[in-house]
Amino acid sequence: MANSIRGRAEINADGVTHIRLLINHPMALERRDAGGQVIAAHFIEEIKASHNNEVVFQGLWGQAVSQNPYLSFQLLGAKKGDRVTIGWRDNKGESDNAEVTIS
Amino acid sequence: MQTHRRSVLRALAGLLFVRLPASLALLAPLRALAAWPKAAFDASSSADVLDQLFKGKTVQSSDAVQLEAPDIAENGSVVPVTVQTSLKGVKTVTVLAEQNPRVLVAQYSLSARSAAPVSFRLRLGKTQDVVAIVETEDGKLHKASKNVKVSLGGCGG
Repeated sequence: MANSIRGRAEINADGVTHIRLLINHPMALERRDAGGQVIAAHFIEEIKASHNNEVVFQGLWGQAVSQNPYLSFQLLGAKKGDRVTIGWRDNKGESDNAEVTIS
Repeated sequence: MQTHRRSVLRALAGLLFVRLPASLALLAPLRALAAWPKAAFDASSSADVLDQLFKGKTVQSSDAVQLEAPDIAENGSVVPVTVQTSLKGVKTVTVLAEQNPRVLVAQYSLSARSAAPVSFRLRLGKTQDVVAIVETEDGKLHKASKNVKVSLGGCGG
């Protein structure tokens, strides 16, 4: 799952950083195959954003979050050039993280 | 053998010493970083979700919370939703899809260092109300909802 995270972090004149993320993930719903066997769901349960070793935002997701999730929020108190670390973990224990530089 | 065991112990102690403050620092700002609430995500009614997440608290409709979503979603599997609020001291933002088989869609925890609007995309199985609940630090729950008509369901039906 390397490089599953694409992100942008842009700071505006008021010092508010707008973070936009696109994650590559199937976010598969639990379903049944033709024979009635349950096929387990596969989805991201948690996504976190950290700045200066401080978790500043956490998302807990269920199966109803769309495939290849998009997420955006505002980060406060950061500056241009700072790095924001994004990490996710899914219900099968897979995970990925990436750094986004504020521009 | 003796020295080897000691050095291993010392190395372990060193690891603990280094790791502990780092993990504490990570936990500090979002006071209690929530674990994934399985029972809430498995719940099939709004009442059950609210009971799991905010037991005993009442939810008030509020003009200070705005939920943006399309009036009509052609494709229920990708419905963009934005929650905005003018409220201060926002602790969590929770989004429910009241007619989905599993009602709870997402819960976001904010710190003093993050803020709304929060946007993401969700699946809607059929036409229904999407609900956003903003929890503030005083423990109050503020709600906004929006009906979204779904032409093609997003949950395989």
